[in-house]
Amino acid sequence: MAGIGFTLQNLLKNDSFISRIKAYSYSALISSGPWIYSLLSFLIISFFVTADIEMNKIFQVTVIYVFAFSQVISGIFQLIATRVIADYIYAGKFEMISAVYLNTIMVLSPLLFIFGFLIFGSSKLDVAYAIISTMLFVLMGLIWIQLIILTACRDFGSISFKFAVGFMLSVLVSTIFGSKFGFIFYFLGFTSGILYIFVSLHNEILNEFGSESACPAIIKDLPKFKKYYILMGVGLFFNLGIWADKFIFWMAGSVPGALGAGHNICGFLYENSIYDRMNLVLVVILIPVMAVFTLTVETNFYVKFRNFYKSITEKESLDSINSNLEIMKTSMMKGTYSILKITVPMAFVIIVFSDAIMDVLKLPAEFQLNWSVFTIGSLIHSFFLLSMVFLMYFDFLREAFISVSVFLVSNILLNIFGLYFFGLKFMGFGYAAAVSIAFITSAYFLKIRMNRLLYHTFERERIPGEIIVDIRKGS
Amino acid sequence: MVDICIICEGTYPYITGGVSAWVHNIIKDFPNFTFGIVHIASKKDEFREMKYKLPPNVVEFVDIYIHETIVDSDGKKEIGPKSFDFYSFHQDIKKGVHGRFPTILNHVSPGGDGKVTAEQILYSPESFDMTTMLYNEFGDNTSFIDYYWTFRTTHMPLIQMLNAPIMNASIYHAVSTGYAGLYGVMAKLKTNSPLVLTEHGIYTVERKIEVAEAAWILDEATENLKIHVQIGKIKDFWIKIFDFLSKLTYKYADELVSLYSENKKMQVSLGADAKRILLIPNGIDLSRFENLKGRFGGEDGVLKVGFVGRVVPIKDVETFVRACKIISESFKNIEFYVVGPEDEDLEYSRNIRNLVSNLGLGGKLKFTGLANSADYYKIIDVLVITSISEVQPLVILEAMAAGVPTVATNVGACKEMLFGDSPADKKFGSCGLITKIKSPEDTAASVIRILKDHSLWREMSIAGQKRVQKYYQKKHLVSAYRKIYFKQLASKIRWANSE
Repeated sequence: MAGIGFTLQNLLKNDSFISRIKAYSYSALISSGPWIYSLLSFLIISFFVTADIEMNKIFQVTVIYVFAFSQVISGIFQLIATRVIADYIYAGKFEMISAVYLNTIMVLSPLLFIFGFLIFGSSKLDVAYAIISTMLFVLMGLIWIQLIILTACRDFGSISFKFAVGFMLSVLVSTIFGSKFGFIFYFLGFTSGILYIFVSLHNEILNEFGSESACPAIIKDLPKFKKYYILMGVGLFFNLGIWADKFIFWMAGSVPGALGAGHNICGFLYENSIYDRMNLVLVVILIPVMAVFTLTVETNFYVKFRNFYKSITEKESLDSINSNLEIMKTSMMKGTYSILKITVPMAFVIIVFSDAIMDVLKLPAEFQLNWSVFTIGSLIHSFFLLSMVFLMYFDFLREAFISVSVFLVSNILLNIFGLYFFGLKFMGFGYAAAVSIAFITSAYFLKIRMNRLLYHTFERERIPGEIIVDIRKGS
Repeated sequence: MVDICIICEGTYPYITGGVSAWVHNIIKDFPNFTFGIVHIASKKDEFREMKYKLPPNVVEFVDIYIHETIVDSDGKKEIGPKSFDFYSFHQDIKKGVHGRFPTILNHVSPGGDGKVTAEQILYSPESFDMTTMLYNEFGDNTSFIDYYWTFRTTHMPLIQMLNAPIMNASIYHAVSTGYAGLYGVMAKLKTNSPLVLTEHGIYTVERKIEVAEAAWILDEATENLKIHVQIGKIKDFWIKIFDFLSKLTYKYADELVSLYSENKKMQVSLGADAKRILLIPNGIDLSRFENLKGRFGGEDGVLKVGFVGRVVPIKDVETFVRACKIISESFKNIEFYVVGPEDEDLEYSRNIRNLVSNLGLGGKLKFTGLANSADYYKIIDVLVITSISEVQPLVILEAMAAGVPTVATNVGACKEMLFGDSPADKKFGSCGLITKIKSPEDTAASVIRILKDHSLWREMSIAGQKRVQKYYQKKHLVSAYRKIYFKQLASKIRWANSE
């Protein structure tokens, strides 16, 4: 008599848990590496472009737009690319890394091109300007993706070297040719450095991971990426959230010429020189956060994180799993503390010496309070990032998505209403409040999920082959 | 609403074999009743096809898959304070007590008080906590992940069943205990319709063999003694579940039917009430087979030995083929037949054909493929059964009716069928010989003995015909089940009127 055959055999060889331990590196979320380089070269170049103040403005705004919007658009694909690559690495299919890369840039390039052309074509400036800026925009967006791919090989030294060469090139070519042949050549020079970076990183990726892998190979795997669509949402909303308040203040030109008002340069290009300079605080605070994160969290935490999941998959007892869990939690606390140790004194210094710093940045003294608020906002921002990274590591994607949505929505609403009721004095308050709300949200999720991490780890695992059918719905 | 809902587990209409043939015949024999079929399987299999054409009186058909998960709605997973007592359910299974089962069913199943969903039971924090609690109590610090998976894979099918929608029927007829029996009990508790259980093999015994033989694919960690201990515990718990399900079915079934006395004894030893067990053996339609053989030997002077059955490992065709080799050395003019389909286990069939040619039997042993067995009872002199497991093979009954002696392994009801069960039955004499399993020598010796002794052959031929006429006629079976069905329908109507 035939009864139901057993699946007993599968019981003990189940390794679906191991899929949790993946070579994730969500440092991409805060890898502001290129951001910093760009900023430095931008400052240097704009220091040389002094002849024509109007042209100087256009250059600055263009560069800011390139960074802001290329980050937003390529952000849609950054996290999903990270995840898909991690999956392939886990599956031992290293040859697929190039395929992921090529497929992503194939999808992303036209998107970047369209957006870039819309933004820079709207300027009604030189056609050459529109073309070069669009090219710069496309290249920048693709470099964000290249960096994601290259974190897989973690050869940061070589990447840094290429960046350094690229920006040297940018600075040299643009200052030499720009001063001789005029405005467009600053752009051309700057873009040539970026092009160098793009091409050399492109070669590095293909050398590292092979170029033979068939490009369309990934297409048949696409359906399984569906489960990662939420990552697209996280990436998009996160970057939109970061730029939402800036955009609102660029447009905040109700009282033209007022101190701190945004103004339209041409077409879709806006700027708010005071708000943009205030934003430097965020960059300044995030640089050490980045460094500490890479040094302590990504290394120390990651090891504990792996050990925790390993203790599950390598058939250890519950006691041993729980003690690994505690060790991992301690490491998280330590990481948080080490970031706290750096950022809090920094913020303190920035606030205490705000007079001097604001003077150097040519910021009007009336905005001293806003400056302090901005500093506190940036401080909280770094912890928001940290909690987001943890949520992503533990695969609480829904929670991460809710948190970034809260960030985006509150950053839009608070700034619009704040501007309406308080005017330009509100500068920084909206951002600081929004990032605080977002941080509270993500920290809350992190806390309740961490309290029952073991349960959540098991609860969402399905026995391989389990198919999702709700009998109740059918009856 | 159907008259009779037949509940099958891994058999009709997808798998051919004794149980399926039995179910198919019952449905055809009661053309005035409407039937529904609930088929319980492990997982969905798109390539699976029905091996039987459902008779026109089958009006409903439902598949239930117990190893597919039920979830993943975004539903709230917390059970809350008024929780379904999963822990007690687990303890009940372990102890083999089922007093609380109706309450538990009411908590869980759709249409019950709906306090708990299956999703909650499997994936709630409360049940996770219970798992860790049980682990701390009984886990002996072994691998937590294995403990957890075992827990989930063993409980999931149960929860899955408790959640299954119930087909509306006047009578539920389970053809095994196990999950089919569980469905029957649930249906009875929910609809108050009677439950009939016909147990062909003994479910618990069969599962025990399967659990014992289950190949444990283990990694290097198995060298660890703790893991061995753990596997033992896992196996124990599986068996406890099957024990629990059998006891539950025996308790709630309104009619308990066994096919032969050995099985009845087994059911009693597993907790069934001996007084309530009816013996209704398989039966065949005599007119198709009656005295087909007639006399020993063929007109062509060639002796013929036949194996009738599917070419699958459980029938142990290999032993038959090896026995043929031995037999062929004693007789000059002899032929062998394997009558049955070869497409069920292609690799096994290929191996058997290779064995035949390796043994040099190519000219003497013929494979007929799927054929009308009656055509072969006309010509074969001895039927051989080498199965390692059987219940009450219809082919033996057919051979008896045809007047062909049988050599069969000592499995299932074979011995009772060939030697007789009751004293009156035994008086007919034996209609064949019993052999050890997996023993080509024993099988060959028995076949040779019958083929060399014409008067023994004749006695057996007559004994078989008399026995099958007296005890194994299909009309007996049909009237016995008619009686059961009408009795149960009457009690249901009485019950309904008294409401």
